[in-house]
Amino acid sequence: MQKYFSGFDIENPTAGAGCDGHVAATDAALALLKRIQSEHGQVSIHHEGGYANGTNAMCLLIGELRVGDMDILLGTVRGAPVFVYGRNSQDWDDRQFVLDAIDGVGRVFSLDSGTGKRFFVRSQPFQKH
Amino acid sequence: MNQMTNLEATAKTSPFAARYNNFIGGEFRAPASGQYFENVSPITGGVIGEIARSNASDIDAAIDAAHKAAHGWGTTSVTERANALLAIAQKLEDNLELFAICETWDNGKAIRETRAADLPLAIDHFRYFASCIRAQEGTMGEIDNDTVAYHFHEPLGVVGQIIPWNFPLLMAAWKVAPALAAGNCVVLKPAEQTPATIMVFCELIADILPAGVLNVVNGFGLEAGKPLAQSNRIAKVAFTGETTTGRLIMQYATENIIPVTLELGGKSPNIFHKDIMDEDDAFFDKCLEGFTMFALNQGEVCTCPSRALVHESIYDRFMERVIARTEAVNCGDPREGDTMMGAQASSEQQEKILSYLDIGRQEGANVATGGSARSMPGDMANGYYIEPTILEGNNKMRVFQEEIFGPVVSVTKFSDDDEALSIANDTLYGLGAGVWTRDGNKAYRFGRAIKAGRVWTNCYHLYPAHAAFGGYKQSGIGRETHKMMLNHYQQTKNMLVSYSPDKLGFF
Repeated sequence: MQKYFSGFDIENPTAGAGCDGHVAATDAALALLKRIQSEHGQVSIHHEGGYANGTNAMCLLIGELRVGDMDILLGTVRGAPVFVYGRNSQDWDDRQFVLDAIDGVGRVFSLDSGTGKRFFVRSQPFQKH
Repeated sequence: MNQMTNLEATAKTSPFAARYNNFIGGEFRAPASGQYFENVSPITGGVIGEIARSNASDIDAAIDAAHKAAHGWGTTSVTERANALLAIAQKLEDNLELFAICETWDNGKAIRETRAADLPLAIDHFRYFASCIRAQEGTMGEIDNDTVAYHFHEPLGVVGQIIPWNFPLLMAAWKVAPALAAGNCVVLKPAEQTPATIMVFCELIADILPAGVLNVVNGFGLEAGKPLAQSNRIAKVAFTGETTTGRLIMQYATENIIPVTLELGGKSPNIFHKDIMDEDDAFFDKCLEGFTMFALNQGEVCTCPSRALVHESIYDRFMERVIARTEAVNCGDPREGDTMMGAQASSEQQEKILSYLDIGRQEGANVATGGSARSMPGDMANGYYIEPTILEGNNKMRVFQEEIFGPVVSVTKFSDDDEALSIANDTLYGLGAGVWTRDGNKAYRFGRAIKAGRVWTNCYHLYPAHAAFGGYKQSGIGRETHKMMLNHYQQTKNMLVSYSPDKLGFF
């Protein structure tokens, strides 16, 4: 497997399974998501742009954010729908959304806030199965 | 670490106390949970103190304190309120060096900028709104000979404000000054990445404002920010930050039917027309600086000129000059007075920027200069540093469309005015833009055609009070840094008065 990211080795981003669509996840992300789901129940992941903390993933209770036409469902991780915000889904035709987790304080209202870890979005050229 | 804020600190040592509690009802109170979180300085990557990790009960206490103060503050004369703002400004000015040091340690930015920009702008902002509120008048409409409509400005009451980490004290000033001037009481939630300077501010201005007029509650967004935004005891919420959170704040506001002001993301175009190279003069030198403004505040500005559009006929010659200018940016110790660019505000921020540099490479962007993390000597070895970076590519690339919030500019060419405008407006955002030309007519046409709230024309990154700042499109709602912001913190009371002794005659 090619390394696409500096300081980050995606040996097998779909390992651990539970991913479908244009979405992959690292073990670290799967572990963080499992922890959050066991505490809070069903959640969704939103990749959205903008400002200081933006252009990254927020994890919210499912239904908390009213989803609109600009939210494109890319796939799921551990049953959690993954939405990106954008003008058209073709932006993601040739890329795979890779959910990772790193050390940090989390998004402003995101459920990873305060866990010591935070979700982190990477992407790689889409691997057709 | 110090037990108290070190008011005599020099830039080389952290001025902060070992621990800061919340500022509620005019006093410093420990968080209800008894928990604290570590504040890390981006300069060293090391812990510089503990900050209250607050939750909904602390927010409730702050809102209680604010409500207790609201009637008194809302009915003080505008003279008294303006004088309080002037006193705050004076306190900041008298302690400018201390606050500049605080901001540099809290945020990581170069002290050259905190001394010359963050602090002077924050000071002026309090003075500006002191002036505005003194000069504000209601209106009187003569409906007919005997009927008069009076319009009074009244404060909203208690407002919630959630601010970002990129200009911690200045963003507080942008929000707090108009709210207080208009007679509101404030509950402020600072960003968890930069929680300390605002507490020094509270220490120094505590005796200027009546207890409860300004309350500052630190903590994580989920635990403290969200209960504030969701509270049914606030009359308005103001937020600066990312788009998703802005959407959530609007949703919460619908439940309570309260107004919001939002300042969200940007991907601002900076357009360089071919006539800028007609002469190699002072104006052209200014253009080169205008391009290099992407590195101001390490690029952590919502209006970072992160997309440069350059006319194809000057592209190669212009790029040669701006690459040299960018490589001349002094990226030393942020605590030294001649350093131009400091540390990114957090490790996550550094990692995000690095991931975008890789995305840019994957997409085929050319790295003209920079492109990596910067390693720094001594106690900065674990800090969060990035090289100022110029990428060349096209506007469809993610590095042209998504906000990186780092010292990274993505450059592309255009062949004519239509193409330049098309690229400039091909973005979800509409916060800032820059236009550089010697042709006044062209500058005017571009300024009007670009869908952004602020079009800097032959300048960039100026933030004077009395020039409205805010977004088109998905960059937000409302206009800050101008007297019109007072309206966002005021109700309009209409008294409709009949001076006629005669009945209408219906009944």
